[in-house]
Amino acid sequence: MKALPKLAAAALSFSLLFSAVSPVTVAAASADPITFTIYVEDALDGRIEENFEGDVSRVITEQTGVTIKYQFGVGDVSNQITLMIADQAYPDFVFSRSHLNNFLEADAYIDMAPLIEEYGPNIKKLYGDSFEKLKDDEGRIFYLGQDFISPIVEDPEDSFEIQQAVLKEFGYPEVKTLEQAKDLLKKYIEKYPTIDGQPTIGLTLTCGEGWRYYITLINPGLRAMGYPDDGNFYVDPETYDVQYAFDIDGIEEYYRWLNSMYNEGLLDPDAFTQTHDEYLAKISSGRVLALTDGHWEYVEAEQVLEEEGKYERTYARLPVTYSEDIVHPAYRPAAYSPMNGVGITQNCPDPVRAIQFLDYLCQEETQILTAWGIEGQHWEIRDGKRQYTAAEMEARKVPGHAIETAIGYMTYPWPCIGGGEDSNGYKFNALDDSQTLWDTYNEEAKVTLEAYGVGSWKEMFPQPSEFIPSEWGQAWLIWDNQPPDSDFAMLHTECNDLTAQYLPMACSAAPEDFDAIWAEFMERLDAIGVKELNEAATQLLADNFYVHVEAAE
Amino acid sequence: MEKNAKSKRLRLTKASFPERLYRQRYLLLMSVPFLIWVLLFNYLPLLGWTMAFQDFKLKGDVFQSFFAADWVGIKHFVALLEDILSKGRFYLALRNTLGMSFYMMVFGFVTPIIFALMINEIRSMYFKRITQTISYLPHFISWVVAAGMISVMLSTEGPINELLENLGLIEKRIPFLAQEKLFWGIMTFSEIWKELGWNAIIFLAAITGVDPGLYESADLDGANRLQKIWHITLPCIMPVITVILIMNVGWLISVGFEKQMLLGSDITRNYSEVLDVYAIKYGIGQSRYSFGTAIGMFKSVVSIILVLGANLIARKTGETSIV
Repeated sequence: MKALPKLAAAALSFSLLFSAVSPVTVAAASADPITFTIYVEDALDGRIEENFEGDVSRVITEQTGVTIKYQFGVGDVSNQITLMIADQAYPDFVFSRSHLNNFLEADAYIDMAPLIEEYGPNIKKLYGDSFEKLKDDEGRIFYLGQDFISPIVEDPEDSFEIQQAVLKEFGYPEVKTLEQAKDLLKKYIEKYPTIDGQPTIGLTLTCGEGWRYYITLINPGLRAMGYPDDGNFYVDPETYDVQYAFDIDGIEEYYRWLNSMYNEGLLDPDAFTQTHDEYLAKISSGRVLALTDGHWEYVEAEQVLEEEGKYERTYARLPVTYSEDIVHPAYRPAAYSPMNGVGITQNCPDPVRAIQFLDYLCQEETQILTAWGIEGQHWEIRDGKRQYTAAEMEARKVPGHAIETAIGYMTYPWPCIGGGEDSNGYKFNALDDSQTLWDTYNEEAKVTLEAYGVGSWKEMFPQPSEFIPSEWGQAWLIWDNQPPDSDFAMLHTECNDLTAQYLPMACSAAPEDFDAIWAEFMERLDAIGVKELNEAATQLLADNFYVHVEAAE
Repeated sequence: MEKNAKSKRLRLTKASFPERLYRQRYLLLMSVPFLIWVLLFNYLPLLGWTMAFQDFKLKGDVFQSFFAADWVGIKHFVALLEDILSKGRFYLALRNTLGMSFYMMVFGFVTPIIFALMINEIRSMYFKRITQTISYLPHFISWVVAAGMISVMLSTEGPINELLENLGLIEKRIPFLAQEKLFWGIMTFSEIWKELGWNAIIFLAAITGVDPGLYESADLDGANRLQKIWHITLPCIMPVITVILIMNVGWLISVGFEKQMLLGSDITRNYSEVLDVYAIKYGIGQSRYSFGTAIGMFKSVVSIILVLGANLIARKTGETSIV
């Protein structure tokens, strides 16, 4: 589930920007019209253009003759995917995250390695050193990794968010620890018990619907205690020992804090049961002072606030941790992990054409096209930088403009370089520029940032250089990629289910009962075999990690 | 004439089986489509039960996968039994299913009967019709919408909390949906609210079938209203009540899962997870189709035992039976 933020982050960072059309001269493989279908597991319906007719998409069709027809995940994707596999009704391409293994087990993908040797020079170039990581033990390639190959430091998706109004009220104080944040919320509620006639809410969560508790209940706890996002596990950067996060002593302190929030009336009593819609409705009413969410998850509600001009009710993103000596782990760098991506299926009638299309997407010119749009129309080189044109900047203020340009749509889940510079030294990613980033903030956010003396939220966080980089990449992808009926996955699910049940129980208990509930939680974790889970995870990490390290060498 | 008819009847009873078959050929022909329907949709799928004895994995299409799968005997049933013995999650799901069903049986079965009796006693036709229509309207709302309404009503900012607070009955607002002990009650109450009027229709229909002569003679004997209900209406609709009861027992283990899934959350899981939800999570969700099938079989067996049991009791006590 952690992949959703990724997707949203990728889609968002690009759709925030616009881009451009240029007379890109690309040697198209063959321009005969052809339509490729792709299944994308995410519910992107309505978030991208319907008939591949945006500006960027049109250029792609002109240059290659290819039209892409999307099929998205709808409702319960496991049923959808199970049926697809049972009928072997695969489209030409398939992108799946959580069900990748089902497709692999069913031999749905073709091995791309020989085709890439013949037709894919740009694919190899784009992935560079990471290309070898795409191969499995037997040297086969079933999919092209989806994540940014060269990552950029964007504003943190996950942080502790406090309304600009609250910070303003108290003169933009330093908010580093949970206790400081709590005091602030408390003081504000005492002063303003209602906002626009409705009761003020200190902090609320979205845990009522399935996996969402990962985002607002589990992850914030790990962050606040300083554990980087390796799924619900902690990987020791020196010994590579893996431990289930809730098996770590001291992790309960965050939840003890939530418990005190709950008992002092600062945490919304409906936090553990409300639906996501109710959650968003509360946020967009402007009366929720703080969140511990991923930006991608509450962004819709924040947009409502911005449309109504309630800028002071939008959120500042702050590196709040349990104590001052804990380093907020948002920017722990991670090596590239191609653990899922677009693959060509057995049903694709013309795999050569498909690989040529993927190769076309990997060209530098196409990478610029998909990320920025068309030269002259959407972007230009100005002051020695690639920048959006004035007309495009203006046009972006109109809702729905992104659908017309289709900028960024072909960057996910298709191969995408992400950050870095092209051969002319211009940036691949528009948000990789402080001025562009600054322009995306609303007035009130700018005031807050100026008060703290920084130019973006990311500057408030500990920077990547302060961490031991994760050589093992994004560990959560390893856990997510295990077949759902494997011993590891079953044990993992069981532990997570127990966590999902006990965290809300502990947080909403009377303060004096907290320890007893937590002890019971630990006992039951031990009983279902959390130690075995740790061992299995350590083994899995070693297996995946060393394969890749050897491959990279 | 009379003689003729008599001999005809005689012949009918004595007719040989093929002869009777031929005679009833049109009737038989008419029932063929239904037979096919039952075979196709009720019996053929039973073949899928064999999956419960396999380790089924999707590889290629369904039939290829079926023949390629390993046979593992009763492994999945042993796993279920072990879970029950160790009071694990399957045990909890089973308990919740039966528990909620039991609540539904007791309250959800009695209330429509009482409601039908009450509606029947209303004199004003106009008022009677309006009441009845309003009472069965919620039946047509889908659970998704109904769950939304219920969750708003029960939230800490909802009308129920407000009411209780204004009446001074509670000091602190209660997040009802986060109270695991209240979950069965909330489920039962919302089910009754939604289905009361609808379920009463069949009893109302049965009541209209009661011979008015009985009431008239009761009037002559000086019976009051309550006595008429107790001694005439109820005994007259008893056969209907029994049949419905037996059928309900058959559904006992199929308490439905929409409302539990929509209104339950992790915090109430010990009391909200029912068998169907468990089967979805641990069967389909983990691609353990065989395990899921085993759960389905388990459910069916329990259902059959319950129905036969209820039927037996009904027959022993001299009431109608359906099997």
